[in-house]
Amino acid sequence: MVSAATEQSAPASGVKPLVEIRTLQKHFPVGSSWSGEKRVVKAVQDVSLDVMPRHIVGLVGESGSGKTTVGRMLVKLLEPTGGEILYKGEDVTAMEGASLKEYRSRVQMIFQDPFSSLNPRLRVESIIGEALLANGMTSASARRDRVVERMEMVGLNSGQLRRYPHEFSGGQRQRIGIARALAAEPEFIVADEPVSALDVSVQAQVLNLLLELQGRLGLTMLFITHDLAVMRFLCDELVVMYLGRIMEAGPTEALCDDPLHPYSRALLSASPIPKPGGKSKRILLKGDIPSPIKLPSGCVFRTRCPHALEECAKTVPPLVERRPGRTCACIRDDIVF
Amino acid sequence: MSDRLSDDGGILKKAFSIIWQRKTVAVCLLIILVIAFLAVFADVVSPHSATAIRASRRLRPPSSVNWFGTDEYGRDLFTRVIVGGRTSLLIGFLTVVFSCFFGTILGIVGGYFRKVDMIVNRIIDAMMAFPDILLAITLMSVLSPSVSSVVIALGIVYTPRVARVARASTLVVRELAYVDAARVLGVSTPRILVQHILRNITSPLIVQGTFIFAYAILAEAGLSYLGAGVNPEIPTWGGIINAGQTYIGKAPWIMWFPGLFIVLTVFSLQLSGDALRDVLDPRLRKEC
Repeated sequence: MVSAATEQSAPASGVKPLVEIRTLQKHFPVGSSWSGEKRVVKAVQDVSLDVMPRHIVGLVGESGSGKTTVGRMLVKLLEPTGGEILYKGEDVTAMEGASLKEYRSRVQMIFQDPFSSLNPRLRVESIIGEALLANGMTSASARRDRVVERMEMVGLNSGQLRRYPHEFSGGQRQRIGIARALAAEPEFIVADEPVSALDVSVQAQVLNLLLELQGRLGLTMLFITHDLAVMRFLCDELVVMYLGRIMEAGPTEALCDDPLHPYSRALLSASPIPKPGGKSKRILLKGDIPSPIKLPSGCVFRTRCPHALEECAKTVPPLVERRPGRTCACIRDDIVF
Repeated sequence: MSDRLSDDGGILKKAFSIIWQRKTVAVCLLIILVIAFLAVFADVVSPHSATAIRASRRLRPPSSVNWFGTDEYGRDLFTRVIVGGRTSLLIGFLTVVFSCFFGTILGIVGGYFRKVDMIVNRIIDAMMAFPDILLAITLMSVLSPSVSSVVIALGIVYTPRVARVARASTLVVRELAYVDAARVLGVSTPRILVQHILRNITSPLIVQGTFIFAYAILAEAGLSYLGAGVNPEIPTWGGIINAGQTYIGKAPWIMWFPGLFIVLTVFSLQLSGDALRDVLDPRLRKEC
């Protein structure tokens, strides 16, 4: 297996991030009750992160942590409530017309469910070719050539050009989804749990394919996952989210070996150690993730944190740099250090 | 194998294989063809005139001369029924085209754009609150009694039904990931509406279309009965049935035959509609 932890050249001071997310917020209104009181789900709060060119950044967290919402805002399927997203320094939310069109061709998404993400009435050729058509490639033969090239790139053959999605297996369908995302030669890919709907044996193939394509095409990726083994394998950096906030962020290896935040520790302790005889101490969290409509005051994790103090309820812990290149949002200095 | 069916001749091949495998569909198509043929070539097929009155032959039961018997004016019923098929089928077909065209547009636009939906949905609700026939009569009262007026009136009456179905299906399809994928790819909204929404809601629309065909034939009959339909000189299936009501005890065959034609047509159309839906769905194409 290819190792994901190959040392990427550390971001030299001159290299600018491809994507900068600044205090991003997304609130969803949930039907006002008849008393007129409006309630909101705070799906994403104060999320800030940078994605360096050619890096794979893993956005990790359990369901309801807001990781998919961040991804959907990046590809403009959702408009942020607050904060900003900069792509090469340009504000994404303000994009219109030609610049939006350009952005659409540069930033693509791979979807979680390969069954609902392909239109059952279209042939593979049309599905993959749609991005090309949207980008003004009107010649049918040029489109077909590019589609064939992309299909071969993801391990499908050109004989399958005129088939319908239902004639493919889950893994093959996800390959079609990847070919579609790559058709318009994007620079940045948001992959929303692209393997969680697949069989384990197929997962590995698709992950290897993604990694290979990322290296070959020089792609930058935001990889959304809840699978710890996947993120270790694939990601250069990790961002751990819980209830819409970032708990901890840092390089994959350092974060996995020595998680700083109590939540990251609990999360990582849940994954088996890939070493015979390796001992792991499971940290079991009490209870369920709280409702995002009624978030806990202060630190959102405090209701389940084994180290919570009274002060944790008072202020939202800021995300501060604890180690070089590593940030963590926790006020318990004694725990973090 | 699916390979063979997926290439270019797929849909035609599929259509033939469905007709071949489902004998009932073949029979239904045959019935529709025969009824349409009779309607078009009525003058050649029947030696009688649809309008010639012969008082001496009033209310005769079916015989070798008058296959379906005669009506209260001594007119040959067989001729009247097959000639009536012209108007009834034409009205049914055009009403389906009219209501499916406008209903689908309204439904998709309403279902996809939430802001428009507020308005569209209220209008649909308001129109559906009227009983069908009452709305049709009201519309007919402002239009002249002709085939095109009946089509417009019935088309307006049935448009909300199609819009309902189209809107509900659009609401489902709109949330599917392939629509999101198309938006991320930068596909234009009109293209999303046609390629991704419309193509995936055709099945319920086809089924709804065959229902409307049946309703329209019956509603036209109702309008004719109330004197708000086409010119009473022109025979239609519904018109013949309504006229026959008075003689139901003496000459029940007046109602039997147009009734039988309506049943056969509607039934055949619905089964053919189901087959058409299956032909158009690539997922079902393989199994047949």
